[in-house]
Amino acid sequence: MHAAEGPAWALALEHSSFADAMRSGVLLYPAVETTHILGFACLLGAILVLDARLLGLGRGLSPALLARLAIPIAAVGLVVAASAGVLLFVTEAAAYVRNPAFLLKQSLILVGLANIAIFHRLLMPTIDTWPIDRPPPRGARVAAGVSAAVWLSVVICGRLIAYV
Amino acid sequence: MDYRNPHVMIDLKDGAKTWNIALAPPFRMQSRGLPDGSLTTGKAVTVVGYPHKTEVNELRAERITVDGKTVELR
Repeated sequence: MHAAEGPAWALALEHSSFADAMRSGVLLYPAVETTHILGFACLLGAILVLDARLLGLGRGLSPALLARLAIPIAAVGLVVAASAGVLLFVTEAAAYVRNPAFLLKQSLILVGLANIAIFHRLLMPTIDTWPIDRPPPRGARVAAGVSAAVWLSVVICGRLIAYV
Repeated sequence: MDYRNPHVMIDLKDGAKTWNIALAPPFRMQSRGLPDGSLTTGKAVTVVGYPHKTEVNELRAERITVDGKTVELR
């Protein structure tokens, strides 16, 4: 729905010729939507595997080796999902900026990014030393729990944007 | 009349009332025989749909009849 009012920057985005092209292309919009889904599928799939390991499941699998595989897949997924997300956002920017599910989702993404930054700063430097047959350090378990909860909630909020 | 993603939107006059109606995505409209240009301002159409519970003028269409042809939108 075109919001008749909203912040000037959101209205300007929404009325841009780019946003118009996004809305009027028969295939462009569903293609970008699909790309958004592929992106967060890669992010969530990969990060949940790593989170599960850090929470203590999959004992015997090396956290360091798993991180080396899962983190790049999750990172690419995040970049793809976020890029496609920006393109979807501009089509109805003024409506999105006052949608509670959208606002909660963006806040959760910030929490998720902060969690990633803290994990990489404080925990990743020692991941090679964690024993593979005992639970990872407490901090890693907390970060993994936050990560799983946040990224699952981000997807749920994303889906709810269309319903609230 | 706004032929756009994620849903084609039309304003439909019904007596004194003007409904703001959401149809289907352009890709589906096109594949079911209602391409851009087939719905024009001033055309008489019949719409079956569900009115919004609180927004009194908004309606989600289940099907639309244009030029004697009924197109399912779900």
